[in-house]
Amino acid sequence: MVIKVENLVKEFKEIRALDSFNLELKEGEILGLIGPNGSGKTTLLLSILGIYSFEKGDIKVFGQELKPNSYDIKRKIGYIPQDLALFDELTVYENIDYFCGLYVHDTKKRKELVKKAIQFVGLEKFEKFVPSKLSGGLARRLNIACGIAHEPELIFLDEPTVAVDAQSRNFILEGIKELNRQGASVIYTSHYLDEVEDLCDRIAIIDQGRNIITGTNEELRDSIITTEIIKFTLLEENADILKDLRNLSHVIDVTIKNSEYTVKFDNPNTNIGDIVEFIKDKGLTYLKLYTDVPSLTDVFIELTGKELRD
Amino acid sequence: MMRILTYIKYELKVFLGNYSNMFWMIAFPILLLTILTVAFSNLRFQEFKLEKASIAYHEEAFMPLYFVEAPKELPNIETLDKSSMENSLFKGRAMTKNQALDALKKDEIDAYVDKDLSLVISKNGISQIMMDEIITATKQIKSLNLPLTAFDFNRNYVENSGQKYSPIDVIFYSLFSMISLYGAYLSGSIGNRLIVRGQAVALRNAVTSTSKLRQVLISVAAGILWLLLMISTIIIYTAFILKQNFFSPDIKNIPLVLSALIFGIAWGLFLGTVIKKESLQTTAIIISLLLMSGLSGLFSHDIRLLIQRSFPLLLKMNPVAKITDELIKVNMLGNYSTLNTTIMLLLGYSIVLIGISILHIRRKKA
Repeated sequence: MVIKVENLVKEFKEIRALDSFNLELKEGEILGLIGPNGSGKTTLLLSILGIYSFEKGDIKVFGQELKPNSYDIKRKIGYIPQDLALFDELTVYENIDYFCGLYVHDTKKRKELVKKAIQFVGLEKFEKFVPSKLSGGLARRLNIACGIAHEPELIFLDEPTVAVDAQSRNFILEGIKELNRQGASVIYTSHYLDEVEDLCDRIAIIDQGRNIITGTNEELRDSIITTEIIKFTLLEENADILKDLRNLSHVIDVTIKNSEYTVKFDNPNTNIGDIVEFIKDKGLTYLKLYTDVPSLTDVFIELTGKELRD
Repeated sequence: MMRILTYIKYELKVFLGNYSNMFWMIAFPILLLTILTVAFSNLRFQEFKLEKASIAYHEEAFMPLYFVEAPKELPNIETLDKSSMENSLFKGRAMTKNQALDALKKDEIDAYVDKDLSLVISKNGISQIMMDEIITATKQIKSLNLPLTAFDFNRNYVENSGQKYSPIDVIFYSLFSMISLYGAYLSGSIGNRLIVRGQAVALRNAVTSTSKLRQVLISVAAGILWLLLMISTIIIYTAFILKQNFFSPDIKNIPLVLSALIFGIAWGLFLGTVIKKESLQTTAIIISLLLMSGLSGLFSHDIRLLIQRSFPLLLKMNPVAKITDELIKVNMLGNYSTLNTTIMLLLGYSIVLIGISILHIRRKKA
């Protein structure tokens, strides 16, 4: 086990930021942490990293407690903070070299690692640029390079794709997959459910300082009541049918948004035939009708009772 | 070693990339030096009259200057080596305090020694410094119950009559003292990079496998190197552009300047770690340095005199005043009597300040 968090309690004055929190990160996996702002994701990371003290609980990193002087363990860790942690006065090369040098003392080796990190994030043409001359996406890539140049075995990425264009976002996500393929275990926090769903082996849903559930995509989907979601639009919107839809068997929820009806079922078999028949019986015509399995968003909404803000 | 040099280079690059730092550290002192030189250079070189400095004394006070007031055992005046006394730099006469104050105002005397051996002066100068030292030594002899011969009558307070010293020098040396503490600007930012309180860089630094102490030491080394370079530049500028000679090639300047540099860095580190807001840190550093220098006589010699009369402890505690005094003594008077004490005081301050700062830096965030 790379990380094991047991019954962690962290309080800020009267506010309980983490409440009996449990988490495990297995070797070689990417674990996603999702939760709204203020749910406790960053607090959890900083507690694991030994920045925050905590009231109760136990945290083990590589089987040991992380103390301020646990330099052997710290050497294996890379941290990419949510905000850009760069020196505006130093160039791309110098920024990476600065942070890499805090882990790697050998000058020759460090030079190789810095070059490798620059290539990894695709900043070869910008080596001599200062961060203020880089676009938001490129600066994010530099931020990542500074955290991974020393080739850590465990990487913490705290919302690395915030305010990043699509191209850089894909580049970053592919990079994280590559780091994982090279053997790094990763903890990844994000607001973007789609990227967490695509990237992570397991996902932990965090809300109000508690770990609601941790599991693979399938395990999370299996944990909720909803089994199928059918969405359709009608030629003529008819709000009167909502009540009748709710009375159909296995229907657990019906909503209408932007003229689109969403019907959730708890029946493991497909229910599309029942919906088609229902629309015909009402003498209505559908324009579009499709069925889907619950997404991570649906899982999140059902478990926390709220939507995750982007 | 290469790694340390690389970090020193990065530290300097980060620091010098800040235009505000550049102004306060380089432009401000050079500007001030130039203005002061233009305004006061002609006053600096007025000859000091060393012949028998004129002092007045309370009739019951002057003798105790040599024999100590109400001694338990009066020394035998016949066996006392009076040759030194005859070489005394002072020409004295008894006066009441009121007469003396009047004479001081009219500049007829340089200093007045009251009954209780307290010194009253109206301006600073060699005579006043010497009187002050003699009285201090006399008091020490008295308190230790030592024989009068313990007094060093042969001591040279002034090497030669060609030495020059004027109140204007206090202003210049106060400025040099302030400059020697400029490491505060550099070290003030160290805390922001090591204590997690909002800055992402601090967060990243805090989780690395390099100890915070090591990171502090690298920054301190960078600070000292930068300051030595800056001070050398200012000395060269003063000597070759402004044509003013303030520094003698006296090796005793080195420990004094180094201890001042260390104190400056410790002061900045302390303010940078104790004060959380970055903007307030810089303000606190600027204000504290200007205040200490101002009280030491940077803006007006009269301020220093006022402090000396009303709150003498403030001058004794004020590092800039101490450094100023020592710079004057070493470079203009060749007097090292209090040099070691001042160096120890500055290093003592530094140890306390660095200790508090390191405790702050090492503390986990609650």
